[in-house]
Amino acid sequence: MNKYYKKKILSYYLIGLVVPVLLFFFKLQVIDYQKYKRLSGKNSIRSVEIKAPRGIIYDRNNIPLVDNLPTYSLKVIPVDVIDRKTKSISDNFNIELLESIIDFDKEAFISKVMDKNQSLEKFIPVTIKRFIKFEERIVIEERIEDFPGILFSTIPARKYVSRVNLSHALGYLGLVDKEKKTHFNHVDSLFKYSLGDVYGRSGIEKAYEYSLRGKNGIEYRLVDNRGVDQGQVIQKDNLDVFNGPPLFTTIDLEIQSIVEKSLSNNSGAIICMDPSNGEILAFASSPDYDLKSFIGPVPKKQWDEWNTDSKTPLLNRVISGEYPPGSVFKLVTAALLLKKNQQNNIYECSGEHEVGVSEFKKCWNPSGHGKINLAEALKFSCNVYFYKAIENITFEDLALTAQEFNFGNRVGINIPSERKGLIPTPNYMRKKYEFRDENGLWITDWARRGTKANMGIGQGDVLATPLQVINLINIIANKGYSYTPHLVIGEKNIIKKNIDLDLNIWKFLNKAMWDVVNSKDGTGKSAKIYDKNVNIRGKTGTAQNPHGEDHSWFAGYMTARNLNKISVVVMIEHGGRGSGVASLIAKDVFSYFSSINRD
Amino acid sequence: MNFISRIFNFNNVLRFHLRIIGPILLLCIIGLVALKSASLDTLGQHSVFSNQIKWITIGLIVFFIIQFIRNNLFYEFAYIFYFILLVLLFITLFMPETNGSTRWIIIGGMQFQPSEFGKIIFIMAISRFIADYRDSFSAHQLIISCAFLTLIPLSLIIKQPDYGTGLMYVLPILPMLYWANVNSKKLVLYIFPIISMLAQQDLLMFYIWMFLLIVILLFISKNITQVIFNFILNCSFGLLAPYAWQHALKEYHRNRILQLLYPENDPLGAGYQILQSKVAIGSGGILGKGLGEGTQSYLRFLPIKDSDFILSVISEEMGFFCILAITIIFLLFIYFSIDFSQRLFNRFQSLNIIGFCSLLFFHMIVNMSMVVGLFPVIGLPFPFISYGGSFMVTCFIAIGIINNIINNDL
Repeated sequence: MNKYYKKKILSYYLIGLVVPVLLFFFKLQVIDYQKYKRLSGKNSIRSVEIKAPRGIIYDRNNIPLVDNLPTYSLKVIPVDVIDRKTKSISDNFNIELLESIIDFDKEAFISKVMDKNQSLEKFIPVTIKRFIKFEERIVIEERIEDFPGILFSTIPARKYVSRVNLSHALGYLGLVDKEKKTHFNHVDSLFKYSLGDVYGRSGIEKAYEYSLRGKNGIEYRLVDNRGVDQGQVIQKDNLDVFNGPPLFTTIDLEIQSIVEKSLSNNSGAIICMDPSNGEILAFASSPDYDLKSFIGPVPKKQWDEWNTDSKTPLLNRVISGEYPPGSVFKLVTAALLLKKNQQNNIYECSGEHEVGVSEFKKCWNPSGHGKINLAEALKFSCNVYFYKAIENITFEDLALTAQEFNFGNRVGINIPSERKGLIPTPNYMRKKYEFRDENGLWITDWARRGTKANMGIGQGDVLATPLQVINLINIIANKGYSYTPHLVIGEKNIIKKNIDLDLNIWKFLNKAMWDVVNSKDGTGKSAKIYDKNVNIRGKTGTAQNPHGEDHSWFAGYMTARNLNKISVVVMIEHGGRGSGVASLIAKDVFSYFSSINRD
Repeated sequence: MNFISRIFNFNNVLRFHLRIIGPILLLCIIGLVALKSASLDTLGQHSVFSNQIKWITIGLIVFFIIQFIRNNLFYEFAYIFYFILLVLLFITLFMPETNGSTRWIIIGGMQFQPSEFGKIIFIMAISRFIADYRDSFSAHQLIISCAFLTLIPLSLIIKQPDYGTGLMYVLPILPMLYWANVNSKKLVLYIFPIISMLAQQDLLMFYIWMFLLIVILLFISKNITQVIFNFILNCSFGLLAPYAWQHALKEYHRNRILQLLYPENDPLGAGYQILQSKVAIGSGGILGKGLGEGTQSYLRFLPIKDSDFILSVISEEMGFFCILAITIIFLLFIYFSIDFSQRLFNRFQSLNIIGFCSLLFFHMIVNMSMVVGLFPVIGLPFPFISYGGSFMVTCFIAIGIINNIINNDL
């Protein structure tokens, strides 16, 4: 191949590259000339962002819990509103009329528009008001000639369509402002937010933000020289909106509704789960906050109101409420006693027990339970038995067993702000209770002053969240393992945690819990339902606390023919005895469940 | 004195080849006219126009000085320059970020973009390498070692990141290798895997490409084992690309590449620019609206309308004929350069000319495709027309060297 020949080839090759591009110029400038001429000239093209709706959230039977509602955002393009000569709001723009239709801050609007009236910014729409209703939009559109430069964009807002609140599990949304935008859109984040987008601030909305979020679209619209919208331009240049994908939760609407109803007059928490897979069937924390009373993200005023409310409606009591677990915790202590093979030890309960020098701890039954074994102690929830039984057990052992049952640690639910509770380890106790007395002596006898006894019955420094308690019930129901509790079907990070104890221990605990509910003198007999197909096991708790009347606990589970197990934990703040209100609420849930069974 | 005589040779022939400098000056004039018109109502900034005149003048002076450079200097210093370039590129990685990338070395108030002038140095180094080893290396050895030489500066530039400039380090090599008598059948074998990786995005496209590939491979080679080997290689490149995409790349790498390939996903950014640019070009028609008559007001406020999108302004105001004229003028320059190159006996200098004119050519073609939306917006200017200082000087250095070579080696 000689060089001359090569020169020709190379030249042809390069020309061959240029020709298609030139043809494209030809297409634009000669063939499609008319189309583009229409788009240019006095008209101009503006891009409008279309907000993508978030995914719909369903319950486990595909009944929607959270849907979307179209609302509108009213925007204005500064260059169309401001008179070029006088540099103030143009006479054509009837601002008084607009003010009479929608309520907005006129002064702030004027200063904002003036502020934006600069080189590039003056073409970018400025939001006047967000979340305008459809009716208001119609009124404004009827008088569109009075408002040159006005644009509407649709913003989907959350609509809570079901009859339950489920506020704490679902969570609420926040609005992306300038500060949030820079916070979210760091260089390497895959999801970009623009101003006016919403984002999840708590609960499922936050934890599943990226699963729920859609993708915003872009529409190019033609605007004539008066600033009036003339409709869409070239369709194919638009960027499609992608709705957020739906999310299927494990919540059962019926159970949730029963649970919320029974909790409505109390403050406390209820959680129902399926121990065999870790799915949460109901999740209620009371008092809750009402997401249905406003449109769009939480208004500032409402937010402040919730925050300053002394009833702390924002506190998610199921996962962030830390309470003394009371007698429910005896199940853990019992497991330890069984591990040490002490189930047959018999102690006498006389109604009180001396733990230190002339320091007495009382049983809840002042006349005492007499000579009893461990099974009976659980059934009667006898404190004295445990005070005595714990004496030959070390503090470390007790703390370790509690930790083994995941107390003092997060259970690992995938919604934010789960708390750890508290298991007082010897280290913790040393830090908190050792002190130098007035003679300069280092006092280290905290363990001898009833602290261990207190811990054995779930009092003293022990704190647990209802989620940790239900995890304990799940472990017992499954005889030795539990799954990470979760709210969304198909959740990936579900871990099966095993506790390696002898099968007889689990059987013993199950039997004891059966007795608590089913025997005539069991503390949990109020939770019993008379149905031969179902078996209910449980444990009550009456937790003393420094804030007032005792907290009322019921923790248990139900098995029934042809039905999955269901575990229930009820915690009523200052509800009195666990055998009372908590057990009764648990009974409601159980009887609903057994009624499905019958159908 | 010895030092100066090493660099300069004042006995050099001083001739200005009209075939080289003529088209270039024409392009400069068109660019100036467009800038004058485009900057008319940009908030009274006429400085763009006078700055461009300043840069063209500097360019011409550089061009003039280059005529006195001792001709062999380029050959002797090619590798040293290449090494210095690598060092400078490495330094940029530690520079503070401006507009999301670290292209510039900033000393005091001065900004300096090594990758810009590096284009010239890189082509000289590759030219020397090919010229030196063309006879002793086989075609495959030559291609692979050239790829290696490219990858070092390329990876540093991608790291900045500056994909547009990076592309300009890759594309000119292909014509150069072709010019160096590397069998083009062998050359394309190295390009196919890249096409396979791109084609896998769409299943139908992948099937069509695989079919085409078999036909081409059979056409290229009679050796059936070679065909099968290449086919399997391409298949695996195509099929492994999604896997590598998922696992070998970190999320932010993926993100950056996606942003580059699909700029329209950036709502108010590049997609909007392209649409505006298309409207401007389309509404210009055959003869254009006339100078200063462009009404595509948005384009006037685009900050880069003077540089990367100058062609949109020209199309709108001077019409399709002007675009045609610019292309023809440019291609004439390319053709004349190739013609001169063909007549040279010095391998290195001949390759140099091919390298420089393909560099300029690829700038042109990528910029043209960019403004009509055929190519992602990667910020490459149009040579001699777009506004911009260091790029203008780089272009003048390139044609200065071409002119020098023609004067002294022909």
